[in-house]
Amino acid sequence: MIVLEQMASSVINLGIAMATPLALASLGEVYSERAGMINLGIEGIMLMGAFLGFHFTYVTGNLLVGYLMGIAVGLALGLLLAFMTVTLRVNQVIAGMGIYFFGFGLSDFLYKTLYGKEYVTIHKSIQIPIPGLSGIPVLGEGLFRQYPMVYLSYVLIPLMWYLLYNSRWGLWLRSVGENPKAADTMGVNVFRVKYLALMLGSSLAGLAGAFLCLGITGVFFENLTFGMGFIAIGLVYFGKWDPLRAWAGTLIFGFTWSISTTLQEFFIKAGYPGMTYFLLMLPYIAVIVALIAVSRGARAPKFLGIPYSRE
Amino acid sequence: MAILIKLVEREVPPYMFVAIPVIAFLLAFAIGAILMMWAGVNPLLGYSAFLRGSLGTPAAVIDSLVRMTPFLLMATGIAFSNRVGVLNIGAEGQYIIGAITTTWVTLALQQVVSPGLSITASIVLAIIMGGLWAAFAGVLKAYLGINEIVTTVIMNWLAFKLLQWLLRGPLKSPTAQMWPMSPPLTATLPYIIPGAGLHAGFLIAVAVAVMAYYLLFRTNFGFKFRVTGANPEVATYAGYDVRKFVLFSIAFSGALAGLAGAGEVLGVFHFLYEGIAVGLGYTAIIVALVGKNHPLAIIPSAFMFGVIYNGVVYLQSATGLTYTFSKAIEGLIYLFVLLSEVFVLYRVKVIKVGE
Repeated sequence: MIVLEQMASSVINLGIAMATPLALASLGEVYSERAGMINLGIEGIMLMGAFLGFHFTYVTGNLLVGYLMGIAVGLALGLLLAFMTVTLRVNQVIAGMGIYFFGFGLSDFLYKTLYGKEYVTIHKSIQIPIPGLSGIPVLGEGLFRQYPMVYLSYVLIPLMWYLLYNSRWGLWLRSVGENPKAADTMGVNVFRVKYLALMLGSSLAGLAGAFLCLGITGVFFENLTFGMGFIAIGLVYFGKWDPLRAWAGTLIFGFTWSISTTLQEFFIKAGYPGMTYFLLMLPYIAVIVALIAVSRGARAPKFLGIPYSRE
Repeated sequence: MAILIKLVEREVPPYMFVAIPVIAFLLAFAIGAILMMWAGVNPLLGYSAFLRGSLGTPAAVIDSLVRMTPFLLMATGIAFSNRVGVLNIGAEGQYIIGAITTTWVTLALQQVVSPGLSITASIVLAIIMGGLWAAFAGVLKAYLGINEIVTTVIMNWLAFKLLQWLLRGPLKSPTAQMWPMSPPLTATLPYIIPGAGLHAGFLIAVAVAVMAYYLLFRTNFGFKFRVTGANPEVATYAGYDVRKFVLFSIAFSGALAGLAGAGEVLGVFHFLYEGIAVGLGYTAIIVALVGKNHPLAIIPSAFMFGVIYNGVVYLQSATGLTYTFSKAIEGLIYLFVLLSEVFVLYRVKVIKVGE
């Protein structure tokens, strides 16, 4: 029994941790898309966030600096994307892919140039138990002996869900995505809202990338996001542009991942190492299945992807 | 006071469309020079090694032609899907599926039938499997409205995991030492120039691009396809089945990516290993963008990227700079193409309003 309990807590623990970078990234994407802006660059922003987070943590020895650099590069790339799509009215999908390729190529180039010859690890973020709560059987160890960034997501996601529907800012944001002309007439600065929404979404993606590296892998390597940035976009569709539902989608991925990696050890011990590769497909298949399951009835913000001009 | 930026379309002579990618390449290489200096490499030394290795000798040019072959095939396919608003990021996975299929079929047939038959069968099946693999994402997109960007990225991961498993299972060579690889293939594509490495796949790729051009611009089907891409509402009004075009475009691009995978395995490597999947399918998206989704313009565009891929190998061996320089350059090229397009095609006016 105790073995089973420990196993359940460790599956929960890893599942939540793996879902967190996705959860932060898709929260940001919900905000961007609610303002009518598709951000396809989050994979590239996550990679840059991961690399700069890694680099600055290694150089300064301070995780906080790493996280802040992740946010900073997200802000910068979000600003660039906003300039291209809002001001120059470049097609959002194409411009977003540009940000992806830029982040993908540059992060790998910078890493190989600075660290190419050695294998460098950093002191990862550590899991901190919350007194009292971490004592709850099974769930406590899983939910409340976590990385600080996980606790941040516990607070941030419900808070931003609340603000999206219940604050003036949230109303402006949603009105810009639904009917920018009307919002403009009502005195909302459409361009500013779009800029801020993209920069907010991108900074969360940068933070997500930094956490992936500083919390989970502890090392940087080529393409370490495993396509998570694109999956975060898929989960926004799954979540029907709602922060809480998107969060639920990220948990599907996180838990399938954690169950697969736990089963992996069994199959290796049982003499079927080949199964590893199929198990690692499962979280991705789960996302496709989830998308198929909810494919009917999702309604995107009305002006998603359409550039606004004041004519 | 607020600042408004207005874009005014301007009359642009046709040759300016050639100027857009040229400007983008020059800007990207200029920033590349700064990156080199930052990495402690003399840019003049770096770029001269780069040019010598990719364009300096006839052999170097031939190597660049070999490198451009998969780009040309995959970008031609991607151009079709781009034209109807389908963003196929899955070329990488479709290419892997093509490579796997070709290897499997060739291993089964090369001892049994004539090389010609083995090559033909393995290539045809690679095309079919690449097309079917992509069509799955196409069906989800066309009939369930599921975003193809997400599904194709996911399917790239699945294809790569499948490749890793096969190389350690059914396709494993018993004599593989260093890394997992398949047994050698003997029924492979002939060389155009003996001893120079330029395989018949290059001619196939060029022929495919030219045929794609005819299909797109000289046939009734191509006309309907372009109408659908330019304005889906008009196409629906005219009674075209938009979903069929969407499905066709992604299956077609998958088929060409499958062909590209077959070409690399049968023309270049002559065995299967994980190193075939180095992100060529992602680069092909940039190749299609630079070629403005036009099959004939994609030919020089693919050549430029063949030059980059070939050149960075020499850049690395001459200066020690990492080969991932090519990826940084590619990202920059993509962004600069977008920006120079805006500034060439529009006059950007800054207006100050209000006080």
